[in-house]
Amino acid sequence: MNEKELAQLAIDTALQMGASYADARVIRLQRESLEVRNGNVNGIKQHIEMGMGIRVLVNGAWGFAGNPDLKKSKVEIAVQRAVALAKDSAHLYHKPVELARRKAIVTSWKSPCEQEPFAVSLERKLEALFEIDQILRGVKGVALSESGFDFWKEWQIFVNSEGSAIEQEIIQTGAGFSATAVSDTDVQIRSFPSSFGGQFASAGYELIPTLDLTANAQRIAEEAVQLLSAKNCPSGEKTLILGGSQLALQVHESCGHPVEFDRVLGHEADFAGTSFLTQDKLKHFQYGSEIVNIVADATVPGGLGSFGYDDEGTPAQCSDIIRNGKFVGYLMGRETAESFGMESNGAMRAEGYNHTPIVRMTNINLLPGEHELEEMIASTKDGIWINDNRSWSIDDKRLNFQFGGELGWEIKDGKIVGMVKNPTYTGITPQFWNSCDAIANQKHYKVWGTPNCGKGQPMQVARVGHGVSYARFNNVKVGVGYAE
Amino acid sequence: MLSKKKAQEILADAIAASPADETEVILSGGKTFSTRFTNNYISQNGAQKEYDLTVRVAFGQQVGVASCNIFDGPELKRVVAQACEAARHSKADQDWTAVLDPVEQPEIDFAYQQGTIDYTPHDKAERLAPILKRSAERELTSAGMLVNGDQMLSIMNSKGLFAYQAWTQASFTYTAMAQRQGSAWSEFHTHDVREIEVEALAEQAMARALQARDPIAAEPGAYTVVLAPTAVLELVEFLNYLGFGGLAYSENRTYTAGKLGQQIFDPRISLIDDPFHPLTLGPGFDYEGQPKKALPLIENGVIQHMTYDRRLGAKMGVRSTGHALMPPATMGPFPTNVRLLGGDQSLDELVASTERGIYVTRLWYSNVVDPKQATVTGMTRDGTFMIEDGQLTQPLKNMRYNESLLKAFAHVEGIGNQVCSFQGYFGRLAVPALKLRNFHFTGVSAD
Repeated sequence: MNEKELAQLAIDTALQMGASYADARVIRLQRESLEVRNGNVNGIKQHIEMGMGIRVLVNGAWGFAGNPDLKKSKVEIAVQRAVALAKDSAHLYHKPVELARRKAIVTSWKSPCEQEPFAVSLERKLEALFEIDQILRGVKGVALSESGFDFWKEWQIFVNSEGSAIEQEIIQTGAGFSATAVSDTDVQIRSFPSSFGGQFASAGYELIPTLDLTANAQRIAEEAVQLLSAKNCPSGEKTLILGGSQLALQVHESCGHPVEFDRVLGHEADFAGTSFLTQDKLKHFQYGSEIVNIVADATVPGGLGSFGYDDEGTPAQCSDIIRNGKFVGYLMGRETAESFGMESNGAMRAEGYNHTPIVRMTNINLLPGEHELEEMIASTKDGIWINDNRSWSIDDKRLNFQFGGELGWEIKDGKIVGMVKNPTYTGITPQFWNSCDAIANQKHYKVWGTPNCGKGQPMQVARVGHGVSYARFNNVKVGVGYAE
Repeated sequence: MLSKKKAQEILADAIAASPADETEVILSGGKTFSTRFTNNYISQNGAQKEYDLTVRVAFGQQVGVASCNIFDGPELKRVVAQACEAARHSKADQDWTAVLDPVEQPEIDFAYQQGTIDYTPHDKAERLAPILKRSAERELTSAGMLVNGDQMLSIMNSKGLFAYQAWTQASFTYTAMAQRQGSAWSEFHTHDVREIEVEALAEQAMARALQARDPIAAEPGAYTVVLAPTAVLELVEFLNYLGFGGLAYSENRTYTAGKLGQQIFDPRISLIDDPFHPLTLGPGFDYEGQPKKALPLIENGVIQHMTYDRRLGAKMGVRSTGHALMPPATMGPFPTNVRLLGGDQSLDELVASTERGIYVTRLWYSNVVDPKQATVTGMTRDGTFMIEDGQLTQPLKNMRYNESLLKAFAHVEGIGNQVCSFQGYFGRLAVPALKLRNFHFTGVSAD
């Protein structure tokens, strides 16, 4: 039997055993990661996995079983297990789960990819990494150079009991490097194009030349060394300009997570937390200033959170989250949407075959504004500009946050006057976004990939995206991490 | 569970399939059954089964790693071939060290409790039913998860080394939420599911959630704090993470660098890495098959030992301490079974001896602000209270802390006598309650 036939067998078996709804996902994942560290190959790892995740509704309650063994007999055992789990859940349900309606879809979809990364030779990949590494290590004072590539190719067939059968293939690529400088009292790191592994996108190997890695290696390494002797970020209320992956992470933590509707309903209360964006706030709450517009867009070509269909078979879509500063939409799946009398906006995703789908970010994008970056800097009297993240923390309702950047640029009277190290800032989410008075234009806009978003019990890691340009915020507390 | 015999057969087949100069093969995985509840009902009930085979081969000093979750016949040969292909196309790893010679391996005979894996989802639903009913009757909302499962780790190399350990694990995490912002938490982790007192843990949290209603904002500043073990957990995770990774230490990136043998913490602080202790149970060997021993990391406030694997040990001229992680182990060796030793006071006594301070149930979403100063920030969660004249009084809104662990663990006022076991990001941890002076809160949440 092929994978589709096995998935259909799982559905048929589940229905025969009393399920009112069932879906099955068979997944083949191929992954490769390469890391070069201080002139040496630090690790080359290739990974392949396969398996099937089966989700069933029996007596109005969910059961799920993940199994790597795709023999017919093992698939049937896994279905029996999922059905038994649902039955054990059912007597502790208040009311049966209902799913928002969806039409059956039979189709296939592939993410854009010009150059299959697994077809590129290891020699070529390592050569590119060693070239970066050599530049980084050539800068006096760099103690540690690290560079790496990551590639994923995930093929999936989704079949459900409503007649959907969707085949998808998503190829993703990530690349980046960092330089670390160390003294007896300090460790400073600079990364490119972003912290924590670099830039990630739904793309093939063609992404890598576009990142200009070697062209930026010297500058980044020099900045790491310069940070050791830079002055500390001053403390006080200042204007803050955020860009790049730091603004992406700010959107991720203080907008993306609080609009996940399962958090609002309490499904994550025991782990990731709940949300301050309670149901009474929908369409009433002024989340940010009028120039703040945020969408959840799974259709962006190349976005790390892009796909054709989510893991419930709902088509990828772009929906408003914040419009003119007002909170107007949640991320939802079929169950959570139905509980609110709405339709799913395609945000159900699972890590691999071995996890049940949960509400997830897609690409949560802060839409570009009208300003030039230069003009934003020129009209800042007393500020700090941060692009790359070093540290992040936020409370369980997504209100009180504190972020730290790798490097800050101090702005005085409209001019950049110098580098500061250990830049940190703190705020309360709606106050912070309501202080946003400028967003840079389309020219500066880019979709950043966040490959490590953790949520759910057992925990699942998702790859999501965030489109941002630059944004400016007023009266922000900066220099907050060094209490005396 | 993959038996020792079956694991040995699979690993031997992989070794036999490898043409490399040296081959290491690791088999790991198991089953997990997780019953998750929310809003007083079971919202997710799942069974997961996953085993991974990881192959590391070396041709001279060219090393490659490949892994897969299917290893029947041709798939097993394919993953070995893939590791070889990666190695042949790689450059020499100048720090590669030959695989370990066969050595007698410790086995922990009490680690696998059949009762834990035989515990059915139906058993779990029956255990949860009364607390979910009681929670609803009291107009509380319960969320949490009851988990049981098993894990195994087995290693073989081309010199004939073989090691195997299987163990069970079970945990209960529980959040009780009351109207008017009341929230409380309890958790328990063990290898024997029969040790989890679900009802008692839930009752304790339900009572505390009611007590935590109507929190007010406290002024940020320096306070004496009493941290429950569930709060100390986060601090010890970072104490370990920022201090005892051998690779970071050798590169002068840890707060411990240059401080071996120096007293930098209160003399009552002792931290030990010990996979043989029931509270921090794990395999008695690392991912290179190196047998472990209990390793004191901090003794009476003095930094004692660093962790090494074979690769880093050879480079630094010391023996492996048995702390290799899963290949390719890019972050180097690391302790995964740490226990902060307990003191002589109960949690109640720590509170009773505090004239004015703050009681913290949990710290949450902590992260590093400054690695060399070991400065960490995070939030309180699920029950923060003023302590006045030895009593928990006013519930408080969640607070943000920014604190150097170098200062926090030097400012010890008291240590709890009950050491609790947890599952951390990097393995098992066990910690007691702590009372610390001059702990810095820098902000308050808005809700």
